[in-house]
Amino acid sequence: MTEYILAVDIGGSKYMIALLDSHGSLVEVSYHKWRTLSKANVIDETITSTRELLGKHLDKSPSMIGITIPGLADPRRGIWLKSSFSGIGNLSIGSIFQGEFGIPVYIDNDARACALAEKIFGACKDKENFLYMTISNGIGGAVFTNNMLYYGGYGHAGEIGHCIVVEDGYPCKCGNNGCLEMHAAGPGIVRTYLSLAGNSGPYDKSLDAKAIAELAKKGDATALKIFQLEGYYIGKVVATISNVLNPEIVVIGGGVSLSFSLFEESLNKTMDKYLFKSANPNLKIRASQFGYNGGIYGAAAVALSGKNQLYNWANLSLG
Amino acid sequence: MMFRFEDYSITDVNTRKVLQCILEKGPITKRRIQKNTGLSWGGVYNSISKLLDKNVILETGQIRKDTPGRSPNLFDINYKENLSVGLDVTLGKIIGVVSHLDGKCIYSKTLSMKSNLSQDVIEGLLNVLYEIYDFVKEADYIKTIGLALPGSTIKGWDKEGLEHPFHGIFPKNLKDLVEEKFGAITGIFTDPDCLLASEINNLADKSNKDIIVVLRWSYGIGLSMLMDGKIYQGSNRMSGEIGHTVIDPNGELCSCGKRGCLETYASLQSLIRKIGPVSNFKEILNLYNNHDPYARKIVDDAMDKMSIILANTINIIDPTILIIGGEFASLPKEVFESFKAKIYQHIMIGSETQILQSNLDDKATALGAALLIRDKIYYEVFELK
Ligand SMILES: [Zn+2]
Ligand SMILES: [Zn+2]
Repeated sequence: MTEYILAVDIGGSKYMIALLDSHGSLVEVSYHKWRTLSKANVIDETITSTRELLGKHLDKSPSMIGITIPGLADPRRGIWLKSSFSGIGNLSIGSIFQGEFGIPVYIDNDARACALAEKIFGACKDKENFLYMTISNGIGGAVFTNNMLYYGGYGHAGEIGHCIVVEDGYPCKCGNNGCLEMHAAGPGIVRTYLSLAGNSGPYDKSLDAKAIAELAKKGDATALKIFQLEGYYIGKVVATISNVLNPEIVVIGGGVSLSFSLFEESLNKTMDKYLFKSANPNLKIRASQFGYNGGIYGAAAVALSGKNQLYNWANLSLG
Repeated sequence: MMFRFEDYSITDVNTRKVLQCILEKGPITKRRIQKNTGLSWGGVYNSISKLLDKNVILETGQIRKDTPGRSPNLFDINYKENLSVGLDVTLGKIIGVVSHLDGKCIYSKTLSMKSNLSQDVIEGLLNVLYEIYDFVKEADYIKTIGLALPGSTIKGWDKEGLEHPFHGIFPKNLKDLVEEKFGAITGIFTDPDCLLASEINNLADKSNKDIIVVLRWSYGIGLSMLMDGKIYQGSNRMSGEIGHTVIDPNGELCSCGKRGCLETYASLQSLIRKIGPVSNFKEILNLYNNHDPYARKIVDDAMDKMSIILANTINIIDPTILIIGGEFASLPKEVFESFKAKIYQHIMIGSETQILQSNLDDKATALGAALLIRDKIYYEVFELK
């Protein structure tokens, strides 16, 4: 019998709700923009949209719910501890959904969820040691070691975004200068573009990483340069981490990964220069195949891992 | 000398459990072994017989009882007849140790090496082994031999263009060679893995939740990591190679063929070359402590570069403990503290990783090799694949 999964992906400006089967085939996905971002409203809007979607597929009733959240999650208790974009914190989203729909709910942060998605549905099905990184408005990472999701000693493992990539670079909220996140995530891309383009560039206030990617595709020299830099920054950090972890594959997801072709060459060149090749002769770097829907597959993967207790999921030792 | 692995090794889980219990609590009675291991009476009986057969344990007497009836026998490890030998084969010297099953070192021998030609190094390590066998006298008492070699020597055997510290061809069949000559089960491990084993053996407070990263900062630079009770090996046993993290692709040429690796800034080998005329870390430290400006600049620069790479490593691995070992562990306390502060400065806020200065002596890596090979035969602590 086919099992169905309800997947909820919560983002900074939008959210997605989807119904999938346990093999990862999408039944339907719906995309929404937040009307207001508050603790109560996040719950209201997602539950309303969920009811709407489920109402259309009464014959495919889900047996589990997976939710991905941006920021810090306590997957064991289903609590969204801290948001990376708003004041939302300490929200028991797991038990609220469970009370509402009466089926088990599993939550985790987006990077770990997407790493699970690569393991269950994606490029890492047969891989035991790999690195996943997501690049959009921020940068997150997750690590699989010995075929298990790796949490680290205090649940902080995979903080790729705060690896230093530019000496004396842009200051970061973590207290350091030149963190990867400050230079290679969306806002950093825009910032560097603006500083390189001066005041004469063809841009307006709505300029974002996606718009700069469009400019690059049209041949804008500065935009192309920005994506060369992007490949360089990512390559440098991925090489360092690969020397430590010796992974089989690195998968890059998140919004910026949709422009992978724009920085792939520079990324590979940087890896050639920085990676200890003799130790990592077969290392591959790939863009996630899930594109825009990454979070949905992530949420579904969290539900499957949670329900079937796979890959050490939620087995972290938080304080 | 011929022997078979099966004759020695203890493969069944219960017997390993019993052995570990005796190691920790011996001398001990069967009754207490049963209590501690949770095994059935028959299971304990079987395991005890097996261990007695293999001479791994012996009866050490009886508990004195005032009540009538037979007094229960006490069992303990047959320490004398179950020795594990470890060798740390590194640039400039070979250190050999003989250890009991519990990791206690009972003999050590250091041989200074002038030559780094592979054939001389092999001759040196065989000579250290001969001296060890002379000390032990009964060759049969030595059951295992562990060899700690630089990672690049082990890993580079099949790869061209990768230089290892010893010049000339290093024999691929070293393990067989040693096993044939000495008749003890032999294993070859990377030096950071061996140091990790020693550090863990030495840690007073540890839990199986601990994620422990050990840096061997010495002639070369390598990391070893204990995760989930296992030494992490990566996808092709090549993890922990932070020495070859490129810092400046236009920098000095490194032994790996790339330019500007961390090792060209921070390995003891490069420091000796840059600071010269010095031949070891102690002499460099003397210059450093006497405020020699050039030595200060080079060593401070090495610590700067190392602190960033270690901070990035902590950001990814999030270990509970990071231990700095190798020659650089002998940095004066206040210098080490400022180095530590530099690492913390680069780590993301919220990290709780404890950074420790190793307090083990220069025999630690050799002892770790003895511990790791002991693991293979007697019982698994580190679960090396
Ligand atoms: Zn940062
Ligand atoms: Zn190198």
